[in-house]
Amino acid sequence: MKQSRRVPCPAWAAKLAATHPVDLSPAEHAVLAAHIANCPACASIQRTYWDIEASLLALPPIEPCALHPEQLPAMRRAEGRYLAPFEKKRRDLKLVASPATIRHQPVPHPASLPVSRRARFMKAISALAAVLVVGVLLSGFLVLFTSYHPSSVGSSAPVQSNLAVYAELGGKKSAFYALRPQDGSILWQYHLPDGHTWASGSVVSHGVVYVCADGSVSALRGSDGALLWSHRVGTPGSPFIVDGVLYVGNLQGAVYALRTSDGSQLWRHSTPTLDATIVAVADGLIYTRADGLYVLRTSDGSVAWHAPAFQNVIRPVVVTDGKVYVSVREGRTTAVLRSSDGKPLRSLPLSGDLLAANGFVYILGQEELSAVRASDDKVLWHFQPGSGCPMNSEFSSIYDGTIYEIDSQQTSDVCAFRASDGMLLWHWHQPISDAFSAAVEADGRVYFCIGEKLYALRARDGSLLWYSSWGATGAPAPVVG
Amino acid sequence: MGMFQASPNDDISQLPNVVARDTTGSGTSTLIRQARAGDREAFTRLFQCYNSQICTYLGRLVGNSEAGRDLAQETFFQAWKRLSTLRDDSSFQPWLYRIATNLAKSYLQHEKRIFRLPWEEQKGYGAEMASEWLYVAGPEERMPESQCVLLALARVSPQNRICLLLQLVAGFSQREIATLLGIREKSVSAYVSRGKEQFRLAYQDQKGDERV
Repeated sequence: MKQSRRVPCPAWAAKLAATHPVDLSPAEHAVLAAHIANCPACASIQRTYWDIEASLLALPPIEPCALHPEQLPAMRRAEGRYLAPFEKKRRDLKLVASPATIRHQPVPHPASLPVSRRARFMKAISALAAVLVVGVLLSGFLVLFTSYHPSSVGSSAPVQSNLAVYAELGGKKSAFYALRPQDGSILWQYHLPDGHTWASGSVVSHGVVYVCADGSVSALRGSDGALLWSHRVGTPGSPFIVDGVLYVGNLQGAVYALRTSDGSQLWRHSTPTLDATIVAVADGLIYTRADGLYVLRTSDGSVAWHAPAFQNVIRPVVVTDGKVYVSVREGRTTAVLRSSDGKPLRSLPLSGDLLAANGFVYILGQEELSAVRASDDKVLWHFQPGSGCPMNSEFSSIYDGTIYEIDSQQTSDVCAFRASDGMLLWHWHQPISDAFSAAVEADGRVYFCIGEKLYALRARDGSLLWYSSWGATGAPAPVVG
Repeated sequence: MGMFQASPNDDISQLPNVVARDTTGSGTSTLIRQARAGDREAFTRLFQCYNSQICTYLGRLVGNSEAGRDLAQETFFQAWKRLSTLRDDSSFQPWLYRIATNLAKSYLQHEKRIFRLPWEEQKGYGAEMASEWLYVAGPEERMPESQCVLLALARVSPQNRICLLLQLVAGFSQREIATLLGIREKSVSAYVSRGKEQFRLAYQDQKGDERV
């Protein structure tokens, strides 16, 4: 009889996997070794890690192609194409259909290719499978309607019928859902393309939800999920909307400005690097992480300033009171720059997640929460929440005077802090560990995803209102509007 | 082989045969500086030093050797075009891996959207990415170790796989991976940890043996 699988102790899983010599300090190595000596499960798993890593490294290296990259354009021109490798595959599909006409023909959708009898048979099988999928989906609905709703009756949270929670959920078949905030029941759903793998975020504005996924920005009507427009933008990062214009950067180095009303492109700017992910939009400027901090004007996409010293900027960059605050990882400091031209003003001896609201900047460091007054960059207070509360987890947010910090790397913890003095308001804890999103507060509720579940807590005291299970992991943060 | 052909002027036998980082020795900074100044010969040396490891990293990441070669070509082409934007010579290798990773992400997105494999070729999640190793004649035949490893790797979710390979194949520390990907070190730690668990469980499934 097969034994149940061993799992590493949750508190030690991350350290067990940290096999690079500098990942753990000597003290951490010693503590881990002491644990391994007393825990057969972790010892066994560590040995397995070593074995399979050795197997992976023992694989023969892939023999590279020795064509000099400089020759690549000439080679592609000779073949009548200049396409990235992933686009080349699409041409290869055409080759199967009609080699004589491929070179100067537009690329057809694969569905329009001639099909053989065998392919028709496969189509029939596919149709049968589709029927089965519909059946599974219907079953899923039944499961959803039986989700946990312990306090949907008697909740004191105000109800606004015009709000909805939007979240991209689902496993291999992702869909974008609008949920009723009172109980998590489905209002509508919009299916993302087959095989869609990464969602990069969404944003709600004036009753329209804008979804960035699968190479496009799509505008969906909030009331019924109808597709209003879609615009191709490469591999997009998180979108931002300011004054009726949606800004999004992509992993091909471009930044787009699209009119939210119809999706028309106002301008497009190509940055000098490949990653033009936007980290903030404020005061008429767009901050991207292209080659340091690369800042564009919202009006026309022209470069306002560029600070290459800030390589590998991580989110979030916050902008308030005419100043930009950037967390500098190496120096464990926060740099303060003038937003108009990027001139360095000062360096704060604190680093971590950054939040800004009402003229204050909040820095969530490894062990403490600090508040900085933006007008003079004076640190007003520090607060150490103590054990159990996550800090500096990358997923922090601030709403209406409350800071939410969430972490689910070892256990799942959501903490709410009062922004005025850092006092811990409540702490929600679950002994589970999985991928998680930032928390979003709206309408007296706090929404977030952990693993396959979307949770709703009461913002006042952190009590669980409902959750729905979707069979997905790694869902991005929900949006509410 | 794919669309690219080896140039008769390039001697690939001189390429390193192991996947390891820092293969260029102390002359790297000089080569990078010269390459940034437009020295084609210097860039060729860098290309020869890093081509094998980038190709192996990409091939493992997308689960397809041929696509890995193409993506490696594209990586070095992009690096050649944008080398002047590199600010710090010491960050050349992470920069190269960052380009490679972004290209691989785009590739995986597009590949999953475009391809519709025949049903008999689909053997479960991630299988399309490892189709070249998929065929197993029958349950009575033991799957070779290398196939088990590659199939297990294909079942690790993409973000976890990126961090896992950057650690294991490219040899970066978690802090370096965090810098390279622009995410926090704690996130990398979580991705690596989950990736290793997914890898271990998938490997055990392949082997059908709880002892591993």
